[in-house]
Amino acid sequence: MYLLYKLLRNLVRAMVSQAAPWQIGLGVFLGTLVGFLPVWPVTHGYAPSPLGVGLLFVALVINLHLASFFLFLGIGALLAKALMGPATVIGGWCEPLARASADIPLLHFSLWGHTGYLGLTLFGLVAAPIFAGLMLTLVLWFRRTWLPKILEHRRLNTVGALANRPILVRALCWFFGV
Amino acid sequence: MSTDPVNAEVPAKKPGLIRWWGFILILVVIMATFVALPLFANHWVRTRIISALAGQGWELAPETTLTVSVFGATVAADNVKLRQMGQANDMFTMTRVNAELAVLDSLRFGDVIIHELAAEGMQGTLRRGPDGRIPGESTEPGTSGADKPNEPGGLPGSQLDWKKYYEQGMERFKKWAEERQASKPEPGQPEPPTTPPVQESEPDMEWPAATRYKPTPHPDRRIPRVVIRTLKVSGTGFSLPDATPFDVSAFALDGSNVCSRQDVGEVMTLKGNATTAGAGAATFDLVRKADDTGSLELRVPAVPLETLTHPALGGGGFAAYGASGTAAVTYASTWTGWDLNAGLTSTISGLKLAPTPAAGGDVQKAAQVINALKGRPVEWPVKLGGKLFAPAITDTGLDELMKNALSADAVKDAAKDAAMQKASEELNKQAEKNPQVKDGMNKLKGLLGK
Repeated sequence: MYLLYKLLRNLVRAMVSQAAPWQIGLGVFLGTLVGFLPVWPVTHGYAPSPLGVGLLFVALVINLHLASFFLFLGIGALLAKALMGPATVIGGWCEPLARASADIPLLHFSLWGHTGYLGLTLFGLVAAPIFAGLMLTLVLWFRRTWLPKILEHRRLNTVGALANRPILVRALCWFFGV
Repeated sequence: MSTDPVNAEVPAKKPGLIRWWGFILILVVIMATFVALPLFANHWVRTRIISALAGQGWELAPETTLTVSVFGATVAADNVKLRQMGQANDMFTMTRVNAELAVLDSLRFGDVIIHELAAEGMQGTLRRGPDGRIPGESTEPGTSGADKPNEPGGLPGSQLDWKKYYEQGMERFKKWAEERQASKPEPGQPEPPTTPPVQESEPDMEWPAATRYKPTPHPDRRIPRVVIRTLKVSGTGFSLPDATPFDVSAFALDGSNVCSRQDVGEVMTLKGNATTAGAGAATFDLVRKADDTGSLELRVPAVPLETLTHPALGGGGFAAYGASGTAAVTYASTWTGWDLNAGLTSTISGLKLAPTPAAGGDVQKAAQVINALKGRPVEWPVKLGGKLFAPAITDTGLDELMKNALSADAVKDAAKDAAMQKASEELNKQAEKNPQVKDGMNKLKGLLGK
């Protein structure tokens, strides 16, 4: 529950942050993709994946919203862990692609020749634009519709809180001579 | 124009595309990796080399130092001492070995391509141990010649059987050759349809349901090959199983494109020279082409024949001849596929036989004929054919030897000398009988100034 709460809070914080919508969208896209891709599956005894590490470096260099990137990297990694079974099945369906990838050094070392990781990569390629699109839409909708209202309410709350203290208001009026 | 500071809003700064601190962070990470990598690489390479040697039953002495240069792609080893696992005596020692890997070519072709491999101050020994076994031989009973003391190649002191060593060495080669030959069509037969190489896969033990496919092997290369573009080896000695004059006291080896499997158009060369303890110098020159053709020339310009009487080489039988002289031996061969075409030419100079009294009558007769040549050079060409892994003498060259011997000036001179001696003896006999002949001979001697 706490994890879910933290996730939701980070999502909302990303939406109300100073970052431009494209920064958040790109952060979500790359974060999801890297989350699904193998970066350095040490436990499986493999070397660092050039594609995964390369995308990680790209995310650091491009001025995207890092919080969104790491948030969705975590979400992607969790989903990848949960989807290992289906990923193997999908990877098995794409056996010709796995075979062909094994002959391309970059893809071979990025574990595209591994039916499990290939399935996860395909999941990531499908999920990343969907998540990025949804997040972008949500950010734009939130910032246009809800953020002004929330800010207005906060302003009213501040004013209301002040108005509920008559002695303080009188003292301020006396001080400023109004 | 003035603006109300209370209502003025600071326009949000448009975010740039590049995060410079991220760029710097990556540079720092890469630099840190470059600094830390040699520390790990040194240990990793050493571990790999040691485990690879252990797999073959070898070990490096602790005093051997290995230096790995990750960025130079080189591995250097100093004071190399290689010995059999658990043995105290070193079999091979080298003062320095330097290997330079061709990284880009290796990655490009999926092979292990060594740009240059140089070994200096190499020394090796195959000398028998106290149990009569050659280092590297199995210690199981009955597997070594040392267990068969009455057979050639057995205990120290017995005769070396070079043919046996050659056959043993070629046994594996033959097997490999036959397998390769079997995959080739007979002459005149059409090429069989080429079957595409099978792409292998391996299961992931941590992810059993998944399969990992390996890169498709090259049609002509099922396993990665090891190629040494430049090979330079120099040494100061190599001891054979038994102490003979053929023990090598110095040698040098230069090669290019040294490998077992060649690519199309690749030419492998190997040149070497060696100085032996008592059998003179030897050189060899090998050229091997990818189209299954090649040539080998071996020259031993001056072998003292006395060396062949060594009991470990010729056995006691040859010693009975008491041969002395020098042999210049040249072995020149070419091959196409596995068909061998070779010639062994020996030019023997200063040959004299001094058979022991125990030698048979035939030996004594041979000695008379040979000694009549008075050591003049005689050429003996032997022709070889058959297969590379099973060479056979197609022409012993005995006819040619006799022809050369008979046509040699030596025979003419020997016959002339013998005739003159006979004539002189006859004249002396006549002179003793007839005073006129004696007077005539004296006048002739005075005329000739003798």
